Amino acid sequence: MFYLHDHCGRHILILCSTGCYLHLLSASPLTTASVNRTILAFAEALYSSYFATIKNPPDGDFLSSLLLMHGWEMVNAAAWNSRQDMWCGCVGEGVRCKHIKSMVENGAELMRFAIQGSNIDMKALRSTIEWSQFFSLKV
Amino acid sequence: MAIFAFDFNTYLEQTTGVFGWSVEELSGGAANFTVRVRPPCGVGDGTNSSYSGTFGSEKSVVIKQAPPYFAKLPKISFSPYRQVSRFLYTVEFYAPERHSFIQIVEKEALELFHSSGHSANSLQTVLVTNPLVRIPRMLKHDNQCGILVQSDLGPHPNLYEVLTSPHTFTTTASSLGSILGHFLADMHNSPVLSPLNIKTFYNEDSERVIVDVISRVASYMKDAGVADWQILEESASNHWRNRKKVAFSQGDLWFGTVLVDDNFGSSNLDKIEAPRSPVIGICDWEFAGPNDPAADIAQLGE
Repeated sequence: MFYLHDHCGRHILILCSTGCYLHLLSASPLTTASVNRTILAFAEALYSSYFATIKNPPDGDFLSSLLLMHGWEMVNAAAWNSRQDMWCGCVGEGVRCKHIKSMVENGAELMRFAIQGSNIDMKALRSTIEWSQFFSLKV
Repeated sequence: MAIFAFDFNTYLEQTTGVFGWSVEELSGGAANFTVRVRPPCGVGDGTNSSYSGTFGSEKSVVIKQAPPYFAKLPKISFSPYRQVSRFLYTVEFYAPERHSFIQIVEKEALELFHSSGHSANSLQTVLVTNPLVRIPRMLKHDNQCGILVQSDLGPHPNLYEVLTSPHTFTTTASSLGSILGHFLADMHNSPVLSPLNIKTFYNEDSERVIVDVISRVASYMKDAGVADWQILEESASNHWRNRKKVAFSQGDLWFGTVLVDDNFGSSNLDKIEAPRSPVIGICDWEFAGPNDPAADIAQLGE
């Protein structure tokens, strides 16, 4: 998350979608294009509403925490047999198929971005993790 | 008929004297066994004092029972006192006469939302400013049996079912996101974290469970061939242990803890609201308390 100025000089808060369950659902082979539009509508409204209301503006530390927790929560929710049936219909437990393996690798990648500290390469994040879609919020 | 590790029927019969309960298992949170119970016909209408003395005028209630392990992960031991904050458990241990002060973490959280008072001791204003969000009310806590009874938010679909339904409009999804985002921010903004509340919600077992989860995450990464899994595990563990706990958080915000009533005023969830606004119910507050402000958002959208 970071600030830019628009052509009128107003601050624009740039947000990215970072949250493990929405990310997993979006990455699921069970998710249709129509459902993906629903997820993205929910996600954009969630982040816009949250960051427009929160008193303390998010900083680099917040983003680092967000990505790190997103990352390990994502690995856990992807491979935990109690919940992984939400993400694919394959048989087995743990890292049971290419779908879950890919989700685990994505979570690990987010954790790698997070441990860069407060100097996270947002451009690289965006290009590496497709889910990290950016949208702007005028503040 | 479902078979439970805990005999809810016998418990209800013995504590209320009412027989013939309907007990329905709920998927609910991972820590407890969770059921929805309904009394037999005619009992929940307010005329039976045995029932109303415990459950008031509720037509159905949700009961959680805490086994001495993590219900969905039986290999992970988890003290029933997870329902009791470490601070208050210590008070009980050394001062049994203060037993009435014993509160469970979830009970404490629910009561913060439903008790009036100064904003340093209440989250009621968060519900006032978020009228489309419902939080269960506490009805009974039985420390001996590890039982929590709370009001029933209703048999509504959870967020997973709503977001994956081909019948959900993007406008509805957008409304739900806005409602939830605004609520979370208001809750995180709340000054409820007084020094007393920070002690009250300190839960050593919950902290340990997450450390165990991070260890499991490491094993998943190893299984997936992630070369630097040890570095990532160490970073995640260090961050968790040293995180800034400056926001009151739900702590277990995933698709299953968010219920959605978009039935436009026909249910008990949104009987107060004008029609055509979806209403969100948030349950499972046993991991609530001071947390990193990014935790809830990182987990759901969590």
